[in-house]
Amino acid sequence: MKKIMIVEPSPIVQEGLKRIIEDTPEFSVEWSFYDTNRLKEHCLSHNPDIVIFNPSLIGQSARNSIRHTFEIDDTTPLVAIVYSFFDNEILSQFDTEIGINDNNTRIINKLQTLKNDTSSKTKTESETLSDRENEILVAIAQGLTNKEIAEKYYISIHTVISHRKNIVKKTGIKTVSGLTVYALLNNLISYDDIE
Amino acid sequence: MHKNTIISVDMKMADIIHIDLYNLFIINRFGIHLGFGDKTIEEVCKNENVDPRLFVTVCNINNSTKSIDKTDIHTEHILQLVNFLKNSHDYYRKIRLPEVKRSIFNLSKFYDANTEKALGHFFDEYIREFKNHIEYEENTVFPYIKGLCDGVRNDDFSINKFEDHHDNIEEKLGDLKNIIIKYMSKPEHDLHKLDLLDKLFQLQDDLNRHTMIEDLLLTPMVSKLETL
Repeated sequence: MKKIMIVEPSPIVQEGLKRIIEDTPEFSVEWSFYDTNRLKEHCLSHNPDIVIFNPSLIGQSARNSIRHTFEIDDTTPLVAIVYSFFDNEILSQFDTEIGINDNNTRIINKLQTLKNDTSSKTKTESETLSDRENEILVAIAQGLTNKEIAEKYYISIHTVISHRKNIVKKTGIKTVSGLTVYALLNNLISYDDIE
Repeated sequence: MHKNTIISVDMKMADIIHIDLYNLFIINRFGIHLGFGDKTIEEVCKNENVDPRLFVTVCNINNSTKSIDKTDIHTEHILQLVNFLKNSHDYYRKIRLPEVKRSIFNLSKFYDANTEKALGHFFDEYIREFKNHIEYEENTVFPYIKGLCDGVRNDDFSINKFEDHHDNIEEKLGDLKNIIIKYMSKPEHDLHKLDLLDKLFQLQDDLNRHTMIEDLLLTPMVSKLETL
């Protein structure tokens, strides 16, 4: 079952959408919020399968990087719920749009196609770590804590956590000692660095 | 016969090994010796002082067509189950872990010193955690159960605490598999990789079943004892 997060300021729209989605057993709306307060924390801790988001909630500073601002994973589909005008710059960051005039079948269809798209996306997705991820991997292998890594690279702890999640997802390796072996195999560190 | 055949006390002991090789390990860990001819499970178990009902419940634990029901949770032979689990631990310590370690050694000696040390170190750490885990069971959980059977209460411990105690041992094993499958890229050593993976999968399969027996049989049995 796909777990959905809805971020929509209007109670009528939010409730309506919830009812429509939950008519289908394959989806369940697990979290719903009226604003973006603490949305980043929610996304990080809950890891939803789909995020449905009203673009009117995006502030000026976040308009270019919705995913980045709210720490929504690249593999998590992002759906816009649209009932006013937004320019393309914003809408292009979403994987699909739900319109206020869409009927039940259309909404569910959109969510279902989304699901298929992402499963094929994860298969072909590149598994190489980015430079930043490699740096963080080395820091993890050296035994640094999240806090120490955040301080070393001048980033927030949340960003460190989200990098760690991506590293685990891309490599398929979950434990620190496993990641250390990975770093050694790829010559990112030598054994002396971790002694 | 099919893997999902439900095993019952009137079947021939010899036949169940052909259904699923794992049953051979179960027979061994209950302390039953091979050479039972055409005797049924019930006959063999009675000769060896093993409760036949407990024996078939353990054999069927991994069977998707038969779920454990309340009548399977009887506590009078719980110490036989504890003994079974102890024997499994011995097998891990004496056979499974050393053989994985040997396979790692055979593979990693073809790699540079860094990799060799890293893999060795990784598995040593795994062995240490693993041994801690089973020693905790043997030194804390099992004596507690023995105490319950003798009517001794220990209010500092309850089996619910044991359930919380499962840690990241499984994750480490999964990591090692992924490292071998995905990141060790010297094709000329494929046979050594195959050998190591084969051992790792066997170990993991064995551990999964072991955990199932603990979670689905031992834990509910102990809970039942606690309420007596």
